[in-house]
Amino acid sequence: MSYVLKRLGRSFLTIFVVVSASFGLIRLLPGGPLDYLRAQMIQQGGSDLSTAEINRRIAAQTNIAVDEPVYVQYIDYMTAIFRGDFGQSIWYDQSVAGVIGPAIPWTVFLTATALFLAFTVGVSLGAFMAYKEGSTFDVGSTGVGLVLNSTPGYVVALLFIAFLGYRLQLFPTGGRYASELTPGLNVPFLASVLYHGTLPILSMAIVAFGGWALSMRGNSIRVLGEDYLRVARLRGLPTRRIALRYVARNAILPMYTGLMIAIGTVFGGAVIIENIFAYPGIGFYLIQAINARDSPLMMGAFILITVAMVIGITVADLTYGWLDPRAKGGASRESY
Amino acid sequence: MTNDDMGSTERSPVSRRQFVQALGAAGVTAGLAGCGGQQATQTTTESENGGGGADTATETTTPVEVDSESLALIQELAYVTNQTLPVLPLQEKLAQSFQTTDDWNVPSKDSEQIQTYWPTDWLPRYGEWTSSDESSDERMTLAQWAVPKDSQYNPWNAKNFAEPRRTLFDRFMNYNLETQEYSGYLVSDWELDGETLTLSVREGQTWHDGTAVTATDVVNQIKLDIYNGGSLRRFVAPDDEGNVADRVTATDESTAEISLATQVNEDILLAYLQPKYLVAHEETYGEFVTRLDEAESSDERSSVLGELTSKVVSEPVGSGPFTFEDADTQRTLVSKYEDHPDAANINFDEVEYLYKPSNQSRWNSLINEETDGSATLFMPNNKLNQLPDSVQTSLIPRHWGLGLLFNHEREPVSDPRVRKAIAHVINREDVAMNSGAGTNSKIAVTYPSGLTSELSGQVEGTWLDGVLDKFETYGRGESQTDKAAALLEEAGYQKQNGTWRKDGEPLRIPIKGPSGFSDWVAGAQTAVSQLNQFGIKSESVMKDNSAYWGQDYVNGDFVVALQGWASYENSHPYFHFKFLYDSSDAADYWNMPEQIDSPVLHDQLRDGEAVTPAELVTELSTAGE
Amino acid sequence: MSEFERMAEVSMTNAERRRQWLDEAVLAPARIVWDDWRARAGLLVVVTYLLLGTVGPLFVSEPKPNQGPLLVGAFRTLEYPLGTTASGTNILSQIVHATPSMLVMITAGAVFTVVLGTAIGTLAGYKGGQTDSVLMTVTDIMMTVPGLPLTIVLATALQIKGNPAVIGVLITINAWAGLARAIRSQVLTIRDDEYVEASRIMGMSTPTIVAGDIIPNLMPYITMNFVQQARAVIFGSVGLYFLGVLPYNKVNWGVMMNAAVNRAGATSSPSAFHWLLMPMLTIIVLALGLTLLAQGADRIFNPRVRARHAKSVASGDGDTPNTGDI
Repeated sequence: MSYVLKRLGRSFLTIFVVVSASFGLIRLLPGGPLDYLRAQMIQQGGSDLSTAEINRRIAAQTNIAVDEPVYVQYIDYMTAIFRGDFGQSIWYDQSVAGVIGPAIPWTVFLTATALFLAFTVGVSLGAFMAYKEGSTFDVGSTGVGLVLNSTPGYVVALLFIAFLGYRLQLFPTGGRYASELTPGLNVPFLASVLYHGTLPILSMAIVAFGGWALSMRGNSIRVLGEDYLRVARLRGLPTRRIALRYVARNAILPMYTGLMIAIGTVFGGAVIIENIFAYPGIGFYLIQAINARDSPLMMGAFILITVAMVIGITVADLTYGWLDPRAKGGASRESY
Repeated sequence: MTNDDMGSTERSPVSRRQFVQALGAAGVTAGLAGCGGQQATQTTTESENGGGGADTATETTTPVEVDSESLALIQELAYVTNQTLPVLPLQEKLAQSFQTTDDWNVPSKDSEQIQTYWPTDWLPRYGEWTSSDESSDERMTLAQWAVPKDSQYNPWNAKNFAEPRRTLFDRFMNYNLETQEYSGYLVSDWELDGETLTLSVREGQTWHDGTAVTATDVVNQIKLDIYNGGSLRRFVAPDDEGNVADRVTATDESTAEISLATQVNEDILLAYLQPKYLVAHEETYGEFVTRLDEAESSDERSSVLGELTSKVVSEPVGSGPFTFEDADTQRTLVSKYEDHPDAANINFDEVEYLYKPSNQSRWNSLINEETDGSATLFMPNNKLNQLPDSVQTSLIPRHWGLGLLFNHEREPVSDPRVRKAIAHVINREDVAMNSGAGTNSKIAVTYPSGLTSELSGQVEGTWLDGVLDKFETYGRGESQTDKAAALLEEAGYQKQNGTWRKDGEPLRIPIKGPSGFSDWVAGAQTAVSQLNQFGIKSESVMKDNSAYWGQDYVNGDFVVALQGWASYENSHPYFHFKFLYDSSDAADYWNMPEQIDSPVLHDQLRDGEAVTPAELVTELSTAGE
Repeated sequence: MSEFERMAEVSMTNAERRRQWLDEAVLAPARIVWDDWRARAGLLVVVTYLLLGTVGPLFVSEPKPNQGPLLVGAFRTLEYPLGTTASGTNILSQIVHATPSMLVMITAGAVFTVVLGTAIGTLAGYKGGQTDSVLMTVTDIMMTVPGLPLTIVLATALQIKGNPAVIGVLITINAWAGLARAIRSQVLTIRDDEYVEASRIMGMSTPTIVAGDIIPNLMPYITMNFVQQARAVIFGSVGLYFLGVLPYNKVNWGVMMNAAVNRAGATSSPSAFHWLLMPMLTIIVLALGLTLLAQGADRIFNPRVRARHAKSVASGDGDTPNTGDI
């Protein structure tokens, strides 16, 4: 039990350190949203705001005197964050939570679906490859797995957009759902969400399942060679039971921590993909915030992503010993 | 599945054409043979034609009316610019503007009507962009940059002030780019009498909530602009913002009056007023006007301004020809306001603005005719080739373009001879061609002098009439290496092992720029390679847009920077020279000395080489009255 | 392993030790690598890229605008084998001239991770106690911070210039933590081996023991990690350059992709698609080479495979946790 407390304490410390660091980083962040405005204005050639006005506002903004001493600002910042108040987004003129909150489900939808697909397909494929070890199927799949594992998700995303999006016009190349639909629990809306999410999800899943498959294959082959399995076979246990109870369980277990870490990345795992598909999730707003020099929004997104990751890893750590009875006590915690 | 591709939830069966395309696509990825691109032979001719633009520059137009005093000042300033090169103008931009012609009646791309900022704004109001009879398109589809749901319409907030503003609000006046003349619109007429400017508000115009548009609304708009740092302030209340309320007043329901502090050139005054939208609806903004008028101190005013600039107006009440309906994450919808004076000119009911946050998405929605036009958008040649025949591309002079900006406190470009040598080396036609990516939307500057309108021939025909031979061209389409070498040798440099050096140190010219301005990056890379070829160690350093504009540029942390070389908002030479010599940019960011040495063009204007260009600019603002 | 063998190891001369180290750490892995086609192919790819980055720029002219006509497709002419960009720049020139700085970036990131990870991991594992506890707390914190978002935030806040080495380090800023954790648990198992114990009793200093007895045992694992980090740097840096959040002063693969998409709409323009595809293939081939090489390193890590190839094997109990799911 003291281990659980220690582990939780460590997670809390991590969050504390990250939030403190973000306080420092915000102070390091140069410029403000009006710089972005100026850049946009010149680039898009459509703004009707004069340069003089922009300049004046930039001046006004940088002149804001920070009266309080740094430690007071720090305490204010920390208490606010731990109360769930991430401040005001400068660019959107609303609370950071108000910008990021609605984006969370969309990001989780993409990453969680992609992870689920990649994991289930990867594990099944890996098990089958191990079962057929040495066959053409095994060698071929290993090759495919290797190539996919060596391809970044954004490359797949760009290829999808080029061929399935523009060339064949089978899928939309951006957005979350079709504009005419009313969000809610109605079939056309949900279908549209799935339709718009297909390419982003596949881009992430396709590059990930190869890795899972290869791990599963390796683990299964190792387990198949273990003594206890030979004993089980000699005892005449049904093949089905051996496959599920012994092989699958013991082959998946070492991947458990990896899976938990992957679950931890659901918030922050789609930064590049979301931007390629102009899909307004957390990663999309993170990059928006960076481009717009909107530091409260940027650090809010960052802290949120970190907290999700911390929770994922903590859960993995705490449950691992419970799932794998062999891994009790100190040393085995280090297995990742 | 072109138009409602985004909205379609069913998959249409793959057509035969698409199937063939799919095979082609598969072939590309698998075999890589014949991958992408074009045949080398196809593009050779295009690249020779593209971007030159010299042939169009000879086109003759109506000369712009200008008095002799102003003209002499303009010529003098142009000469100073040409001889000292505080900035090196490289190219002038032609904005590409797109109109779909199959479902819509629009003037041809060569017509005079199209020469306006922007056709999407003005043509529908004048009944020149209408839905054609046989088409059933009741809705005009355009694009916007910001997420529609996050868009807002408080111009003083400035952030996410989205494109629907163009139909929701009316501008004060219209401006003809050809003749450089103003014509009335929301402000139907005006009169400048000494130090008093009288504006008449258009009859019969109402806000979308039914209340009449009055002179008070116009006054409120001008006042809020001035309070918020608008440029008119220097003519209206240069010393104290406290008396703005007394100087901008409504004399009756439809007449507004501005008392100026000094005499001002009418063209310049109108240039400030013309682009304004009337947004200051009493119910939304009235309290701010009252509080700013009554504010006792500038502190109080700042706090009111702080509130004003962070106010978000997501459902605006405008007075333009279209009224706000709704906005979601994908599009904004506005519908025709039947009581607008020009409503009869418009034969379609709605305008929708689709969320298109990137150039690429805008190109494609024009190509598959999802959108019916685009006010202005840069589109490279390979994408232009994909446009259907029914989409026309108009080129509208932007009176603005890429230049190399020198930091006047940094070696080696603080030496005018080095700047001139750079100018001689750079082949501006090559720069313009690459920057234009095969389109002829970038035109090399012939006379680097701070004057725009390369396209219409006004530089030669009007502004520099009679003194043209005094101006240096620095080689528009060639690298004048001999002249550059002579200048560098005079400045103390020697060429050793192919590199120009002074005291053993190589001559280095790093060029900084914003990485997101891809046409600029292409132009800068061309200049860098030309400089390197000549033996100047040059490199391009590209920062992300915000970092560049927010830090490197405003902190003067550059030797050579990429920046527009003319005033962004206005085309009259006054604004360009004001930007070059009398702006906070020049003083604070480029560290321009107030006084410089330059040969003299008109000796009745100045004696001796020393000149303070900002004084000439101020003289120009009041000249001819 | 018999008592006798252990005695023999302890009483080895320095020369013998070096020879043994060489055999264990370099020659045996090399033999294993060459024995496996995947590793061989991986090595071939990596060496090709190294050549491309070192001597390549001498043979391929520097990328310049107007080297040729605009947007020539790939494999159309011998002069521009990979085609040209919208500015008429030779894409082959760009790819080759981008390689040196990419190699610097990759190396910097991988070396940073491996050195820091190994140093902290061995120190924590070997020293134990307070040092271990402090170092592992720091490691845990670093490990839980999401890498890519952290890189993006730091790149924005720290105003880094375009130096490739700095960017390489920044992209792997917290990757060392995972390695340190793994190394530490390895060290924990080796630490109490008798031969290490013996060195300690003989009065050797901690650095000598770590360098002489512990690190060599971890070399294959470290090598594998080096390769994996190299891949991570490529994926990360190209992705961030593509998004346009990193500064640059020279062309590189990610900037090429960004230019192809933003300047020519390459994903929707068949005539510009090669501009995007070529840098993408460059990345995939290099990453594939590195993956194959990592597979080879994995085999080196496997004691059974190793035993077949090494003339002398030092430690027997190399049962190691499975790390296949990284």
